[in-house]
Amino acid sequence: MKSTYLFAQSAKKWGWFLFIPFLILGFFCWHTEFNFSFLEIDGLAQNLTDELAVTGLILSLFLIGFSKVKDEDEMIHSIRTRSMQIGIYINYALIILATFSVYGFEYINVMAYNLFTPLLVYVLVFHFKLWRLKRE
Amino acid sequence: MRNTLKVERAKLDLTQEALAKKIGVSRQTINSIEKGKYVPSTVLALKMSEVFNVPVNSFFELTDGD
Repeated sequence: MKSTYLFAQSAKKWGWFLFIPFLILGFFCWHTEFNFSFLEIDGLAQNLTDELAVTGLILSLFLIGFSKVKDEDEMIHSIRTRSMQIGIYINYALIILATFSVYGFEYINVMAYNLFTPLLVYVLVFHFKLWRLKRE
Repeated sequence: MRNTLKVERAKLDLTQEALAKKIGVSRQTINSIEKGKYVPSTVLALKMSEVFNVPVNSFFELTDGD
């Protein structure tokens, strides 16, 4: 098969390994304004903890979602593409729902979560489809 | 699309696993193709044709709606 632009199979476990701590960090960073003092950079008005959390979460989700599975063949490729499409549909359905139910300054929460939901929904749909395929 | 993959496999006494190995896909992929749930690429169809030593359209057939 031609190049698939995917990470090695072993990258997935690193993805999960990083996802959990970055998820916890991101959550506390956003909701309790938790900061690491060592990320206070001189001359910068900002603490870089939230930047670290966002980058870590995105990268770990990429590793989980775009690592090769055991038998990465053309059918898996088609399941991957389909999962991405379904992921986008679900993600935007959720955004529309949130747009009509969350108002004012609270809406910034929707936008913050939306940094990750397209990847997250894709990862969930893809793994659900793989699980169902294995069960057949 | 209809297919007679199972019949062709039986003629050569090949399991799904064995055919999968020969053409470089997973057993689940062969299973999904046989069930009509997945339509393989031209490349894969030609690889099967090579294994079975018959033309592609002798084991894949278009149905109404294709």
